[in-house]
Amino acid sequence: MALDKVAEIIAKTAHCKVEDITPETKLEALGIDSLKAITVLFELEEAFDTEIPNELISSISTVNDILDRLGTANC
Amino acid sequence: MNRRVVITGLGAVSGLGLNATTFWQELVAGQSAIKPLNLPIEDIKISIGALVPEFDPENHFSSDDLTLLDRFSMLAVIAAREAVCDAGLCSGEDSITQAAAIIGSGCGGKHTDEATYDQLYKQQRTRAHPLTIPKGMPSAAASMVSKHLGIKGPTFALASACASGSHAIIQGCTMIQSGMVDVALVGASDAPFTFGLLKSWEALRVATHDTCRPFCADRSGIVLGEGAGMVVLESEQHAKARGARIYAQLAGCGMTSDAGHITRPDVTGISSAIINALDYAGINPDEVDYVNAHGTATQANDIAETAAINQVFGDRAKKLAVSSTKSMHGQALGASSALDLIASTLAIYHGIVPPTANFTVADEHCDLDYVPNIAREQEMDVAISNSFAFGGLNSVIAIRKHS
Repeated sequence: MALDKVAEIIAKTAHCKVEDITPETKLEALGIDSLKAITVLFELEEAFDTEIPNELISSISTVNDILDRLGTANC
Repeated sequence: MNRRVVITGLGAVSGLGLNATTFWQELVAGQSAIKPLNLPIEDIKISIGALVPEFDPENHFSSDDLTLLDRFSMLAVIAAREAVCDAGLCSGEDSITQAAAIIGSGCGGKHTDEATYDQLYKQQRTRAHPLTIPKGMPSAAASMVSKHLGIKGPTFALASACASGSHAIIQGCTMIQSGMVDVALVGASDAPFTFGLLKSWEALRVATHDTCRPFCADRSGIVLGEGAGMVVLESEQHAKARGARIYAQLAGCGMTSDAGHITRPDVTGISSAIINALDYAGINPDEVDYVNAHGTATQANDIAETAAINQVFGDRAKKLAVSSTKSMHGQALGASSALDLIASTLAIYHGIVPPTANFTVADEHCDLDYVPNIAREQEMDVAISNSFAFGGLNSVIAIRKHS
């Protein structure tokens, strides 16, 4: 599932457990600041072989937002 | 000098070990850190170097911190922590919060830059790692030292190739003399063992396959090293007021540029820098006891440096102890010049001249006392530390025993 992969990538940067990450989790709550966020996005782009445009970044707040941007919210 | 500047803290990370205590012990023992590299890189002709031994970054930094630290920044922070602690200072106190941090580097964050370029050029990847810029920028080590030590005063990087550490130390000294700051953490860091940089040094044809034998007839070039040297400088008044241990007085400094050949040293440029340092300090050449030489073991440097010392000191030259500690910690680019100043400081403080290791027979044009292979107990009042960089940038620091 896409959520599993996304959670794994976020957990690596946030140094938290994968199980602690749900679609509703806010990135800010995991201590992901703007610098860590671009690292997460880089890893996501690599893993999903896609591109997340800069214009969409400001609207990303939760894990679900990421899944939306990846077009995989329902995977 | 209007305000006396003194040296109160030392931090050294080098091929000789992870702290200044080991650094000094190994120097006095004449132990060279130069070893086969055994790097997991193919097609490199440079086969020896002085790598920092038994270095596990995770023993020094959290995994979160490591995401932002190039190797040269790691070495800088470890040496900076040691220097501040050695000075009896702590993060959070005003002396450190308001201090300056001037951190030189000869090559900057090459590990980071090259990893990204490898991905882009060689592996045809389409995106660079997003932390490439903040990790790899030449000022990254200065920023990381500031962050990890809580230094909030004037902080920046400085580059003058292999004299970067010496120039940084002089910059800190003049900031204290001007009254801008009371305390400055100064030095340099370099981590040059990367594929691109090793190939580039290889192409210059100045690196030896033998070992580093400064001033010897059979010398055959430099041996690269890595490391960081950091020094805490203070106004004498500030150091005395807090009862700090004083290693030595930073008595004077001289800087010149050859304005000439990009790699060939110039005797006049070197001698002028030595003269300027002595004049600045009000030191007569006859007062100097020890010269920590630039001593790279290239054909050109060792002859030019010897000629310059003879020119400045005249009859006194033969009475000087002259040694190159690069024979033991290698040519760690900008970091070397800071490590050399630390060696000079400890030499004055302990009354021991570190030797020139790997010494065989002196070159016919090298006619000074190079303290071959064995350290020498000798009371000293004045030492100078020579650093000369590619590009003709010369920097000399004079230190005096503190009394």
